[in-house]
Amino acid sequence: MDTSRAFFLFLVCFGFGFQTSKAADDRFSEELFIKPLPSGHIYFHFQFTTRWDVDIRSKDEFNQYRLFPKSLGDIVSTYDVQELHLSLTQGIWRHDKWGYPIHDAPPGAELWVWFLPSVSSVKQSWSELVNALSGLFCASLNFMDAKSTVNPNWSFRPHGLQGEGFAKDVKLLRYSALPREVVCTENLTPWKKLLPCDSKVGLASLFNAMKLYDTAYHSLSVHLRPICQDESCSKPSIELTQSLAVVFDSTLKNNGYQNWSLRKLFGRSLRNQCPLADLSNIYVDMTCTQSTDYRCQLMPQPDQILNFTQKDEQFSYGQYSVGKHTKDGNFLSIGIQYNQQPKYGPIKPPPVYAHRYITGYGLENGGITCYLYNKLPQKVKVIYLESLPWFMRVYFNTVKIVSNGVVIKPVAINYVQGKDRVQPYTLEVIVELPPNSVSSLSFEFDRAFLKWTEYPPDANHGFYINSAVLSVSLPVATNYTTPGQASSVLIDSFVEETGQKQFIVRIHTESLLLSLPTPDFSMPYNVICLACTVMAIAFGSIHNLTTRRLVARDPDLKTGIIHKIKTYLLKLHPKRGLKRE
Amino acid sequence: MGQLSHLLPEKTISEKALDSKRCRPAVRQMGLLTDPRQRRRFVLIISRYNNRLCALFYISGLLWFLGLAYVYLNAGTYFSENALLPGLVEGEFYTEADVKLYKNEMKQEMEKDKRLLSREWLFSKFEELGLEVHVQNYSVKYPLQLLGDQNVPGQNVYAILRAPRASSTEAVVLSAPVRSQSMITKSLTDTSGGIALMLALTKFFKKQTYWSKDIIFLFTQHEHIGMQAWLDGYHQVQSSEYIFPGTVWGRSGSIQAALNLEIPPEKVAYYNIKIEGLNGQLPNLDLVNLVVRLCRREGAAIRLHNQYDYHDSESFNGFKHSLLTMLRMMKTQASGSPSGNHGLFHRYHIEAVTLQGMSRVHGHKNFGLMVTGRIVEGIFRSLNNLLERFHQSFFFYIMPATNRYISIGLYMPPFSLMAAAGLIKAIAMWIGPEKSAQEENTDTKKQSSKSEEKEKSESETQSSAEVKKESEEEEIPEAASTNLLNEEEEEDDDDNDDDDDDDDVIAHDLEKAEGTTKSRDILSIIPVLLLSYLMGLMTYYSPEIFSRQTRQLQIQTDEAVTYGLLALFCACLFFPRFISKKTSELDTGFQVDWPLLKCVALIFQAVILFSIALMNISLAFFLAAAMVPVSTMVQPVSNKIVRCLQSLLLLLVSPPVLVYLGSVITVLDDQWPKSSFDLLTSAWNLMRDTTLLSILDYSLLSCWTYPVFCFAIYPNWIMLWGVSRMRIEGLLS
Repeated sequence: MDTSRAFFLFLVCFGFGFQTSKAADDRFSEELFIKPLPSGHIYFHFQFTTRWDVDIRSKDEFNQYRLFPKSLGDIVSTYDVQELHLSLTQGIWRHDKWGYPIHDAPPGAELWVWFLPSVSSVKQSWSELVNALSGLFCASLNFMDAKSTVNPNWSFRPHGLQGEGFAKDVKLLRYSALPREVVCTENLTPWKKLLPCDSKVGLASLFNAMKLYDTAYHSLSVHLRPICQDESCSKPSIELTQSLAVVFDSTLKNNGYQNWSLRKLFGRSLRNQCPLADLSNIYVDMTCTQSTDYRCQLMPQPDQILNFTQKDEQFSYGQYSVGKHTKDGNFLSIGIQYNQQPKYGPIKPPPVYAHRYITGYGLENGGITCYLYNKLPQKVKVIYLESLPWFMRVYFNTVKIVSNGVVIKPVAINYVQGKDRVQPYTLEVIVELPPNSVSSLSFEFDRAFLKWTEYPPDANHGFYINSAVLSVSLPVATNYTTPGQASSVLIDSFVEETGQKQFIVRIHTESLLLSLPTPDFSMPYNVICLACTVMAIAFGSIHNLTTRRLVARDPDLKTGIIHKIKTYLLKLHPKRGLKRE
Repeated sequence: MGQLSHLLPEKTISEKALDSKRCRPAVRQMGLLTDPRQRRRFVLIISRYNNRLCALFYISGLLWFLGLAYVYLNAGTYFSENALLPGLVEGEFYTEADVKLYKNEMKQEMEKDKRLLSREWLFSKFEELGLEVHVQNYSVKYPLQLLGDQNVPGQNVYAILRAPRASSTEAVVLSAPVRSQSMITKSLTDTSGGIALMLALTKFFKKQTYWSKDIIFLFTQHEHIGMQAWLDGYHQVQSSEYIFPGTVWGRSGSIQAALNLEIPPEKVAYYNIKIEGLNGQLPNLDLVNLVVRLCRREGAAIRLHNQYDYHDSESFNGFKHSLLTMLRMMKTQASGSPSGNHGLFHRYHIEAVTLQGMSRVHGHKNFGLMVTGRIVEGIFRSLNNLLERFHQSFFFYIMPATNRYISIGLYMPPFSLMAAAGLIKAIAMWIGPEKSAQEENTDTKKQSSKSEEKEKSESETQSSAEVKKESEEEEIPEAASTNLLNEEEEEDDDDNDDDDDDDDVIAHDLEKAEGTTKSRDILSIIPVLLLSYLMGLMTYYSPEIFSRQTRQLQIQTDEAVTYGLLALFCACLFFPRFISKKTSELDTGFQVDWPLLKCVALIFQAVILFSIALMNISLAFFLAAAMVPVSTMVQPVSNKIVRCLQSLLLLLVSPPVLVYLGSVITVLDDQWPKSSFDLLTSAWNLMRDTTLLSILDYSLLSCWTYPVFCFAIYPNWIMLWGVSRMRIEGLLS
């Protein structure tokens, strides 16, 4: 039944595609990459890639949509976007234990965009773009205003095609992040809608919000870039990569065992592949099957095992074709059984990672220190980007990089001074980390006073500070899984690599929570009460003084209660009084 | 100066008078809203009834303050922070097997290594549970050269349970001090039960997915020092020059709250909640309420300083009971040193309390580790709900029972009354002598001329000047009798209505000083002030010298410091001798102005008391209770017996005796000594320890008690001592 419906749908789509043969070609592929992590967690990376053979520079071509989402296409063409990278994340990727993810993302929302050189005003396009995206993804991206947007020099290069008509100048780049953004189903739903098959069929049918958000890490992302249409690269096309990463801790509900299966983790099995997809694959990291004591068994057996080496690093992935496994209405639920409980111990960290924190206490000043770990036996050049809100008044003269007690001189520094309520601070440092070292980059800041209307409702919670971005080009492939720049789909990067390839890694550090001096917000009420009291007292006495009439009084005049009673009595009986007189 | 004024030509004096005349309209404008007569009445009242007022203020303040322990004069606790939702969820911690397992394992481990629970064992246990474990290596150099230049190494172990769905921006701490069997005394209870429980709780907590804040499990060594080192290391600061925190590698976000556990392995009779922190800082009342409420929910008895809540709080016995609880709490707070490891968190704006399990009482209902576990679970689930830092409830309060509190708004008025007694006396001292002088003047005047009009002019200039009529009201209050004022008024012919309020008195103070021999002489008291500060400074720096000098003499440091400080104190008792000698040499002219000295001393005392009260009300209260009556009474007397009595009274409130009395009370309260001799000797020993510990606390934890005594209370006391030793003969001459 399901397959027949899918087939029908496929026919319709195919027919539609055939009919409008004038429309540019597009292809869709869905992939799932699964990797058990050394900490006992399991990493799932869903990647949905849509390739559309249009030139991003010519707006006229954005009229016939097939697989590519029209809502996004409109935005891209309207605001002269060349590259767009958006991520919405809950939780933090712990590099020291989990290695590198395929697409790294900071907690909260992050957006960086390269605009086409044809754009009239980057500033205006950016502000309109974030508003449009904010509506599209139901996220508060509209808060990415000038106060939180930076223009870094080196950290972000275009990922896609470069050349004539494409951006080169960093003035066309904008980067912003909202570490406080909470990611939930309301973001997942619009994101799912961009997929050609939605979440009804295919790999996306695993997206069960209840399960997805009960995880250790969850990240949605959208990456859009121009790429070459073919090997010759005569024509450009657009690549839209939507990815969803989740990290489960399967030991929680398995009595300490790491065993897992799709059905257990997502609450359902796979029934089919997206009929519109050219490629629907699942890859499972099979390192554990080779280990000696902590053995695992993959169920069912993969169709094919991809063994390859990259820079002396062995990789072994089991590959499943979803279409093949669900052909006859079968369910596919991949899983791994382990023979024993995981033994936790020291985990070999990735070659380069970072740990950032706030130093000092009190509400007057403070500092930020970032430990930059280099575990490689050679020097590594890293680019460190810090974008700080204006209310953290950074002292540039305190920026210091120390490794083993030796001060390291940075290769280059790009520092943009912040302006109160206008512009954030940007600190971009290129530094060469000594081999096998821990370097600490630190600086100090003052905490500014905000105006009382600038505080959020939960002022005492603190203010979130963006993650720092660390960009590094690694000579080794340890913990590395990111597809190369040339490949759109994951499988393309699962090949033997022998040349002097550099592996580009961009990681994000922890976001920070900063307490600012916060007034007591019951104070306005107290002030009003106090001021009113003072006013009343002052007014009373002044009024008394100014309006009192001074009347001369007869000192002999009798007063007192007895006299009053007397006069009262006299009034009652005036005659008697008269008589007496 | 005084002689100079005699040489001044009359012209200059008249110019001065003119100057002061110019000020008068302003004074009158001031009088628009305030009635100058009122002020005069105030001065009158103070100068006349100051002794009675002082007694009234002090006694009423003291009684009111103590009365606050009565149930109708304080308030019941309540939750300000609604996000805490205490006890909304059922406790789910029922894994007794885990607790038993860890308890037994730990017992074996402790038998293996008698000295201290091995850090490696803790480390491996947490690693097995899949947590991120770190070790902090710190070192301590003891002050006063207690261990020479040797640095004592220490290690703290901590594990971080990462909240699954948060980004490690916030954390809560569950800590326990690691104590060896040899360390365990009555005050340092066994904490191994808490450690076993924490391991079991870790296992339980890890399975839960509702955490939104990281949980740090922390095990510290060396009591306060270890905790201080960890907090310093976590925030990457060095707050003491003696503790070197080393590098802390693993961190979570900003710490929101902390709970310190001191739970013995056996079943406990009741729990004690310890709240007093460093320098008398207290945790937010919401956190205290939370712990109390959750203990109650589990049916566990919770007490404050071993004092249960009296069943019939309205009765007199109930009042006595809560008064004792309150005083015990205040005593601990007044010392300024933290009552548990929680006390060090407060400086970093982290709210923290210690939950201590007490197992000594027999025949009570017993609470096992499972109950404690559910209490901790409840507390952490509530803390997990917190959206903001603790900021809603009180930070300044006193507790007479676990469910009653006296807020700053309630305790400040009685305290102010007590401290105001000294201030009133200071004002009286300022205006008083003139009044008495004037009374004398008027008396003599009355004798010479029987006129009903009040005459003031009595001094040198009187003979030449025409006698001036003063308006009726001016008679007593102001300093009209002072000569210069009179001269002034003699100069101006027409304008002499009511301009003689306080302002003028102050404005003409210097001139007055010139005018009389027996008037304010600020210069004369400056040596006393300087000397008293010098004494404070010497006290502050001497322990270092004493300990260094006595190292060769093979004297114990605590003895050296205590005896040294006492010797210094005795030496300073003789300081008035030096000054009085000088005065006798110069005969007249250079005279220490004792009312001014007393006035300055009293104002200084009030300043000290009020500033301490803002941070540590208990210390301020006890100081005020002890010092205010004596300091207001002190004055030079000629009668030898009275003089001795007064000196004795002053000595009774001198800093060393106060510390000794404090030790006596502590011993009485804690140890129930058999004989009075026993009491005195153990109090003496306690005092020696306290002195050394307060110096150590200052150097290691920056506890302010020692410097406050050196730079505020001690100099103040010396000033008062100076007043009491003033030669009365010199005064009368």
